[in-house]
Amino acid sequence: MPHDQEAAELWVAFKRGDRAAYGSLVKMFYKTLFSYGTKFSADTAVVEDCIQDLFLEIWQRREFLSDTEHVKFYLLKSLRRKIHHELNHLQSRQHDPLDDKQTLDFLGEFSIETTLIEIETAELHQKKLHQILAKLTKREREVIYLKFYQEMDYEQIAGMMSINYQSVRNLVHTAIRELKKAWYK
Amino acid sequence: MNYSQFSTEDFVLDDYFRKWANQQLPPEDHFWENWLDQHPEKESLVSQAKFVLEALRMKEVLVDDRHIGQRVEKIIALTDPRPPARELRLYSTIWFKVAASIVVICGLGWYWLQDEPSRQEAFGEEVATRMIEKTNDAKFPLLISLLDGSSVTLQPESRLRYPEKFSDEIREVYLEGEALFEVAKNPQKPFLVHANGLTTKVLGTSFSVRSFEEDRDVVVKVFTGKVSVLPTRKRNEKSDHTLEQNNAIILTPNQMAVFSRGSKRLTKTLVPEPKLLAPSKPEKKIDHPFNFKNTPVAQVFSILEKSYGVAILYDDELLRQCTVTAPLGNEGLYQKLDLICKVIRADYEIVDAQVVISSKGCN
Repeated sequence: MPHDQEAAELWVAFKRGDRAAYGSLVKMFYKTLFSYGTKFSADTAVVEDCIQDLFLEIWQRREFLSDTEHVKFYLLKSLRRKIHHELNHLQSRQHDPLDDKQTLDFLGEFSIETTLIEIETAELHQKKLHQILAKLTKREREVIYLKFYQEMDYEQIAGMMSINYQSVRNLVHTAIRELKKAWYK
Repeated sequence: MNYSQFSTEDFVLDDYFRKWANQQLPPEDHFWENWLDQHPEKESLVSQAKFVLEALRMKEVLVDDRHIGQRVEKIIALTDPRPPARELRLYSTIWFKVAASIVVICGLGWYWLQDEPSRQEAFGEEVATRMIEKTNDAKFPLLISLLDGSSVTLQPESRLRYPEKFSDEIREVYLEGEALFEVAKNPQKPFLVHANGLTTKVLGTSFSVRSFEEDRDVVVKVFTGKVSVLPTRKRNEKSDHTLEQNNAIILTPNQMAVFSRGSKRLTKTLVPEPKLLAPSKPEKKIDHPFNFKNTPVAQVFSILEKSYGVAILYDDELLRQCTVTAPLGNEGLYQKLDLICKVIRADYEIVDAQVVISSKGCN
């Protein structure tokens, strides 16, 4: 994708200390990171703090970051870790900041779960659709989000969530297969 | 791409198709409309795929672009390596005191305000002493020298009010906008800056106060001296002494605190570009202090700790065997750490403004 390539080029320039390139990267990815981050916490202030920390940190360490073709992957993954860490920390002030054993819950919801939206399906199927979506676990939802909203490939999703490639792939395919059964025309 | 062989799944998983289904293609791109015209038999597969994508639509937190723009600008500004005068910012909900006597001053300062709330209102009253007011309408900073030897660099569009003569117990000034303060040391006479609900208390250090109406964050960076930062309590709130002390963050040079007004969260970290500290007493000058030759890593870290005033945490036992040979010089602290960690095959992260080294050991 041209977007990826542009980001990779900006990344190289930013690592050399190019502030304009850095600024462009922040602009390019802020919203994406915000979208992902707010799937883990409803507290947008916390999410935005983490995004800011992340960007400040990469600036500090710019010269020693490795080159990457997958800037978005790198940023999303770093943000995920940061938020995980931060939420653990907030949950228990006594919690060892270096120990992130508690799980990170993906809280993203499907629009049709809570909103009435027009979708081309019969009444009966509408119900079925809800049942299918309700069955998706938090982790499965995250996989779907990363696949369809962040356009990550299976390998990246696997790396991001520490699960294996095949599980990611199966999960996405099963979800699509199930959902298409709810379609009726 | 041979779309005519595509199944519903294939369509759902195709980036280009998805862009079209989600109406993210540029308006001039009519590929899919044309393709459908040529393949009318695929109509139902396509609408099934669109249905699946529709079902998988996720809720997004709405946020306006202007807000995002401000946040982006903020991040860019925070990494701007400008001289200290402009780097140190402080907001209206922060307490900020010299840490050397932090615990005592913290309490005393507060009780003093409690006992004589009228003092805080003195701004409008101007009873005993004549107040001088300086407004900087120029485009460049204005330097104001105070009688006690302190100086204030007032930024454009900012205003400072101060008494013609300070009282015997306290030095108090009132600020709107941004200013750098270089406060003459005088432990007997604390220096207070009131700014928009914010009180900053100092006993001799340099710092600046900056207040952006639209900013959500408050950032305090320290270059010299020691300060403590504490979110201001509402005036009517009961003074909970212990709580205040627990929430206070002590900052030493090269540290910064970020206070999020939204989440009321105060965090401490290192400034983006830590500076070498001036040695506190004239020691014998070592040439090339960072030119390490088979130097035990404990010694390396100790030199870095002293030079930058940061704490470095590591497992003594584990790193006993590690030595560093690296001709380091003018690199920044993070660059130095990156290089050293590479040598000893370790990693580091910044936790609560400390450098935490994790390593599997050498050998």
